[in-house]
Amino acid sequence: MSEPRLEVDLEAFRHNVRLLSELVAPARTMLAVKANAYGHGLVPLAKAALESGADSLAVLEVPAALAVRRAGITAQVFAWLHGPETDFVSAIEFDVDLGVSALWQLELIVAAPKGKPARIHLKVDTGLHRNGASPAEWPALVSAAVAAEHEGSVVVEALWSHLADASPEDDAEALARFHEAVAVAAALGCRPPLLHLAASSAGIREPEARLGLVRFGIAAYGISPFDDQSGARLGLRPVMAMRAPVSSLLDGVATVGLGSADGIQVPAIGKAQVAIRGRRYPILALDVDTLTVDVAHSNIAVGDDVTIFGPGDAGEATAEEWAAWGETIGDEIVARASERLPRVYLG
Amino acid sequence: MTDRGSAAGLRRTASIDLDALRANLSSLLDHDDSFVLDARADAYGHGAAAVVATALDAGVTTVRISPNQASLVSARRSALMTVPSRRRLVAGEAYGLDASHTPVMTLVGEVISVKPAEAGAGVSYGYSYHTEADTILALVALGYADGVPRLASNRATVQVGGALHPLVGRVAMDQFVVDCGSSSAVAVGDEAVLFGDAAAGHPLATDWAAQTGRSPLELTAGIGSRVLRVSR
Repeated sequence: MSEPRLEVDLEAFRHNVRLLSELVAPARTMLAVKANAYGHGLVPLAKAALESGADSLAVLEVPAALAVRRAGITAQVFAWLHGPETDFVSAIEFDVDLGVSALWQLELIVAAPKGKPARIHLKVDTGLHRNGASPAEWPALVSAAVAAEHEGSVVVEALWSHLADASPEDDAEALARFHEAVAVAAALGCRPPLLHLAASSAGIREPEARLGLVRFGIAAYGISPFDDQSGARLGLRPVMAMRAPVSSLLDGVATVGLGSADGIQVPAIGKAQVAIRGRRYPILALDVDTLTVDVAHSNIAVGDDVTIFGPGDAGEATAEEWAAWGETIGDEIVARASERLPRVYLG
Repeated sequence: MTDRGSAAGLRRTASIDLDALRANLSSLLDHDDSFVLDARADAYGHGAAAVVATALDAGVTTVRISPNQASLVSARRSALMTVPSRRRLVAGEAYGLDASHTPVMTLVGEVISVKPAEAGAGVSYGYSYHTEADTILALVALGYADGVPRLASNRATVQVGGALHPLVGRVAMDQFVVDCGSSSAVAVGDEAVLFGDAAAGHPLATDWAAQTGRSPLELTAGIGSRVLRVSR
């Protein structure tokens, strides 16, 4: 009998990466594999992305970048979320591109002992109010980077920002702020070869935001970044499926060895359905390690495979449908899939 | 290979107070020593190895663990069970996730950006929050990939710089924003306590659970693997 597992369809992932990278060419494609590749598994997804149209990887943080390097991957790797204890020395040694949002980060990078200049991407905040220098802080950050570049301590590879995906008007305003920041940097003598701003949403719908490179994340995992259009409508194929066999059956109630601790979203219960033999059945209750399904008046048997979510081509719900049931987005459905479940790679 | 948090990166910590666990178990054992401690799902995210060892030392006779954890817990086999029994199963009280016991887990993130924002500034995806007045925004490096429910967006409270402040805007995969108010002295590198012990002025896991449509046990069991468990 099969076991509880996450199936990861690498062929579907390669299809998505090809589709997206061809859509935005000649802009380059950087694939976001942060958070363990959105729960799918860092190294297999990183390798598959580089085989199918992406030329670089976005990993969030330095330890993940080093894990990519330890796996033998030599492509450009970008890490941009740092704390005061981040290991910039190793990052520079292993050629990790570093996002820089604030002077304190630049100062730590400049101070790090190194045998070569650090490759940095300066980030300006264009309205999201998360990371990135504010427009007021931007000239000082750029000037400090220019000085550090003259000293041979850093090379400014890119200027970048991140969009709020609030509305086309808001994103257009953020794009205008970005161009203003690029002009400010140029006036200060900072004219790097690369600009990047768009992630999945703007990469698909806002060609003017593609610039030199698009950082694709959720769309590559087969999940739409939009409220008003499914991944299937965009030609994307879901990559992750969560499955387990019926482990016992009593009085029309099937028990399955997947529970809330496997990442199944509790707020979805009451609406959520699973699929068995191509038909949908309601979840009755969710426990920490198990769930129960109402299969009364069916011919379901112990050992039958139960799909919690999957590609949606055999009657099962997609992660997008689970997101609607759980009042969230598909990103949370897949990224929360527990590491205790084995990943089974297909294709 | 995964991107587990480490000393070389962002600090994300679930601090596990084993003294509090011991005290909770002692008071439970005083009333009835026949219960089974429920340590399924890695002791609901608290770390089964340390929890089981502490419980058996404290006099708990039987601990229920998840079937897939049998190899992770090097305790007396005879004290472990992986299937239901008729005996009373104790979980929330032991982990201090009720009103009358001490919370065992304190979830701590790191402030990685502090920036002033003017009144009316949109925050995070979709600009679901706009600042009401000139203020200071702190960015915390924990997100829904770490088990911070996205439903906490614009609902939960976080302790930053020793005071309670609202979590504002959408929780993202790896980060969220706290509106600290204009007089805050918060700095990069500060701890942000999501939930812990009321005696230390922390928000409670029970509040977070109520705000995000799940039980406190489901909340703690969902804390992800980038968060280091540190026993104390």
